[in-house]
Formats: sequence, structure tokens, C-alpha cells
Amino acid sequence: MTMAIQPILSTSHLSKEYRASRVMGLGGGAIIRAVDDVSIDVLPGETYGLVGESGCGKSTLGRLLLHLIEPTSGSVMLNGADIQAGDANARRLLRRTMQIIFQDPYSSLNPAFRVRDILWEGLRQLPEAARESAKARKLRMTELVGLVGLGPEFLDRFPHQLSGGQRQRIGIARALTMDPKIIVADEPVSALDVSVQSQVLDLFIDLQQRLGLTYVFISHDLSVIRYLCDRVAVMYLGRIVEQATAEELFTDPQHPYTKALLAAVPRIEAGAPLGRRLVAGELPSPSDIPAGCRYHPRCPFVMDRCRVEDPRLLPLAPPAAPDRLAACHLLDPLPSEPLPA
Amino acid sequence: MSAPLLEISGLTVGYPTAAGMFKAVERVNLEVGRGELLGLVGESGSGKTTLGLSIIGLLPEPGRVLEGDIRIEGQSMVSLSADARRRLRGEKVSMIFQNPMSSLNPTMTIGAQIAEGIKAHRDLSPSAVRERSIELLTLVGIADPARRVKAYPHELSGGMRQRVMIAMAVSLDPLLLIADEPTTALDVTIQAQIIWLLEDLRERLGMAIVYVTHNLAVAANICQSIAVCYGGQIVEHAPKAQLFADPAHPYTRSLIEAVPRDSWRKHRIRASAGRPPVSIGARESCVYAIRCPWVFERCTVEAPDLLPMAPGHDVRCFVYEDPAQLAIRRPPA
Repeated sequence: MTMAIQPILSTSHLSKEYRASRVMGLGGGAIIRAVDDVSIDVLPGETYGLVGESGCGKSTLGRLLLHLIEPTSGSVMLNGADIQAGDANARRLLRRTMQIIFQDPYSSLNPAFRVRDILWEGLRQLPEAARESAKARKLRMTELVGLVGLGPEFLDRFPHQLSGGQRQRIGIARALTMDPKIIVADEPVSALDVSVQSQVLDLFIDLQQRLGLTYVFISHDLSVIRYLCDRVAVMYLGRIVEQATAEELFTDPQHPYTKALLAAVPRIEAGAPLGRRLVAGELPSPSDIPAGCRYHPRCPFVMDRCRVEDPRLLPLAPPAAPDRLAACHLLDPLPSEPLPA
Repeated sequence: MSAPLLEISGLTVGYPTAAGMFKAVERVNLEVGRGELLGLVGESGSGKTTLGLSIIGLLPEPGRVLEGDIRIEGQSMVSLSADARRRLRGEKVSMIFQNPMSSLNPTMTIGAQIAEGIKAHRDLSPSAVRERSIELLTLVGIADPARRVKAYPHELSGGMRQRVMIAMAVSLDPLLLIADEPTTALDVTIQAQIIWLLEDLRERLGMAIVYVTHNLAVAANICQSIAVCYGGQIVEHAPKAQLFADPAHPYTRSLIEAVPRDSWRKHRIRASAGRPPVSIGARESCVYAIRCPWVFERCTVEAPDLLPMAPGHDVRCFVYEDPAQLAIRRPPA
């Protein structure tokens, strides 16, 4: 049933490589595959979560979705059309359709600008807004800050006069200036205290319901992902290792990495112990990705096959939902192909 | 009965500002027993870090203790000279911080940095110091310690650097370790490893830990008892199980409620409005009054004390001093 819905945003074999500079101490010239062969479909109106630890490529993937950085290979499709194919006009339309919100509202708002100027930076890109009278413009801005739960008095403030939660609200208002359909939110609540975090999460839910937004929500925080997302992709060293509905992922994780990740999350239920033996070792360097399955050096269920053969992201065997995917030889019902001698 | 390991009584710590004295910590009473693992939980500006820094005597200028005392094994820390306090630091109490990279010297090998602390307190031969450094790295779970002592901080991962900081902090077998957000900058799988390490070390070395964190779930996992900080005060202090089963203070209740657990479609969090206050000058109301859903007249004219409501369970809230108010706010089931 869900397969009949056309994705609003999708990627096909998307990859991004960086060449490490010598000063980074990663060995000069080493290739870092930040995002490696990622294909996802984001459905209209859903909240699609990208979760993983540092260096898993979730933020790079977010930037690739908006074409803020050039992919090394693969493509991003917005409503079925390749976002790279278009001319300047198409690029402008892309900006109107898709916006991004960053983690740190302290560094993503210009400190020399009042809130009204920050919003105007976005609004003036709209032909209809650029022609408006000052009065109509002010009304538009008042509406925008009202949408994120702030009063018109905030239009005259500078970022340093705002609390962290208020700054993040302005970050959201700025993203809404263009009336976008899709918002990519990169760790938008990670820098906030828990009580402010719940206010901002509430705002995300509210705005989605009122404006029919589609979210790609990037976070390292599994509780936040579970709270907000409809479907979730778990990333590890540039790859998606599992995709499922949030409900399935959190109640019945399949990939050993997802299991380890969930076991490591401290839960508030008193006495819920952290899963001790599931998480061993440290993340390998993204410039030196292990052969075979990239999780095999940390995996407690490692088999010979895992050391040599890179598992593909495949649908789980029925009765699992058709869009439930995992990249793990343990879950692969098919016999492996004979290895070349 | 002997004195508790750490005893804080009536502690008020202030920073003078142009607008008046800013009280980062106000009238705090707290006891920590030997080998106890206490969580100090609060949001930014709650005073939890200032409290930790006052215990170890590392308050940044111009902060100072205005009132009250901090005693370790019965000995007052506040009245000690800076020199005497320095001698106790590391021996009796030590501290680890959120960002190990900013606490480690990038130009020194980690072996040299561990040795520095040991040499300042112990008269040991260079080879004995080196041996002890390697022993400490083994203790904190760093593989191949003989090679790692020669490594520089930038050659280590974030988790390893925090292990090194822990090795330095326990190098003189302190009685009390103050851990200030030690896992906040780390990935969740590495956070779990550091938490296990601290639990193991507490058992093996018998030291007490004051674990300062904004993350209630982390505290729920490792601490035996939890003190909740708000606006420079401890508003509730209870054994962990009791705190979560029966949170008394309205702030503790909102903090627990604000932690996302399930999908919003199943359990939507009722976000509480507002943010923590800044307390400058004298206080003539409850610190939580302006945000409190339970506020009544007395809360706006008087400041409550931290009082016992059950054995081992203290709360700073007038509602618990007034049976009529309590019956309205928390009607018996």
C-alpha cells in the first residue's frame, strides 16, 4: 500500500568522498567515504529519521539532499526530478521547496542582524515579497515569528538577546520564510536543555500538522528519533544498515549495530541496565573502512562471510513490511555467491 | 557514627556582578557517604557545575563561597589555605570534565601528564612513576598501555582521552571523584563504556562519585541517589528508585515528563513553558514559583527549605508543608 505513494524526495546510490588533508592526521590523501551508496525514499508528510554516531555520514547526507555539497556519485530526486539536472531557475525552486535547520542556533544566525533582517534575507528571495509594501512585509514577518510561538517584539532583537530555544525558533522561522515543503533538520534540539527541547519538539509536530511539512530529521539521540519519526534509517560509517518504522526499529531491532546502539541508550526507567556486552570497541576511522561488512570488527555475531563480503541493504524476509531493510548476512536468507578465488 | 565523606551545609556561592551578587549556588545541604554514587542533575544554569567546582576548591574568579561549609572527612575545605587545598586535591577529591581535549596538554605525551600529578604528591623514582602510569592506563581499559603512554592527546579518540583523564583523576586513590558531564561529548556506545568504567572503578577503588549531568536518563542508570538542581538550589534529593517512582517536587516531575520515551503519537509530552531564573540579590520567593503549576500564595513571598518528606527523601516545596495544599495538588488515589 505504502509503495503506491510517490516519494517526495529520494536518493539513488548517493556517495560523497573527501580526500583527507595531511594536517588532519588521517594520513595524507586518504579517501574518506562519508556517504557510501545510499538510496532512500522519503514520503510526503512523513518524518524520516537519520540516526547514527559521529562520522556515520548523517549530516553529510543531509547536506547532499539540499545540494549544499556536490555528490561524488549518485543522485537526489525531488518529486522524481534530478536536482542536479536543472538550471538556475530549478535551483531556486529547490531552495523554496527544501530548507535546512542546523544544530547550533548560536553560529547559524548572523550576530549583527536583527531578527527582522535575518528573516528578510530569506523573504527577499521571494518575488512576491520583494515587491510588497513595508507594512505588508512587517505583517508577513509577524506571522512568521507567530508561527514559531514568538511575539512581534522579537523582530527587533539581536541573536545574543535570545535564549537558546528562542534562537532555534528563529532558525525554524527563517527556514519557513520560503514556505518550503521539506525541512532537513540537523540535530536541531541537541544543544538545548531537556525542558526547552520538549518545547521545540512540540513546535516541530505543530508545524508539520499545520503546514503539512515533510521532515528529514537527523539526530544522534535515539529517544528524540523515536519520539518524532515515522520511519528511521540507522547509519554506520557512511552506510544505511537498517531501515524500519520507528515502532519496529525500537521494539524489534534486527541489525546487530542497531541492537547495540539501542542497548547503549540509558533509559529513564529506574534500574534499566545498559546492555553490557553488546558494544565493544571504538568506531573505526572513516578513512580506513573495514573490509567485508564494515561493522564486523565490533560485531558479536561475526561470521567468516562478514569479513570478506559486504552485505547489501535488502528487504527482510516476510512477514516483515516490504520497506523494512537491513544490511546483514545473518538476516540474509539467500546463500552467498561463491567468492572469487 | 563517623562523619560522612562529604558534608555540605548551607552553602551559598556567589559571583559579584554590576547588578548585584549572582548566587550560582544557594543554601545547599548535601551529604555523600563513602563509596556512594550520587547524581547531581540539572539544566544549564542550575548551579550543578559551580557546586562541583566549589567542592574541589576550583571556583573561577571572582566566584567565592559566601556562606556555609564544605567538609571532607569532617575537615572544612572552605577555611583551608590555597596551598593546603592543593595538597588535598587529587589525594582526597579529584574531578573530570566534559571535554578532555581542553583539559589535556596537547604538547605533552599522556604518560608525562599522568606522571606530573603523581610526582607532585609522591616521592617515587622515575621508573616507579612510569610503572604506575602504565598500571593506571591498564586500570582504565586502555589497550597496549606501554605504547600508549608515549601518545599525544590528538592521537587518541574522544573516549580514550576521557579514559586518560579518569586515569589521572584516580592516580592518587582519591576518596571522592567529581565527574562533570564526563560523557556528554561522547557517542552513545562510547558513553556506555565510560559509564561502565566509572562503575567498575568505584567498586574496585571504593571511591565515592558525584556524577554531574543534565541527562536524567544517565543518572537513572548509574546513580544510587539523585539530587535535582534548579536555579542554584537542590530542590529534591532521594534514592533513585524513590525519585522515579514518586517524584515529589513539581520541577522534578516536569523534568521526568520532558524526557521523550515513546512516539509522540502515543505519548505526547506536555512541554512546560519558560526557562530557569537568574537569581541576583536576596530571594523572597520559591526559585521555581514563576514556572510552577502548583504555585500558591506562600511560594511568592517566602523561600522554602529542603526538608525531609520521607526517610532519605528531601524536597524543597511548601506544598509538602501544607496538608491542605497537598490534598489539592496530589489528591490521594
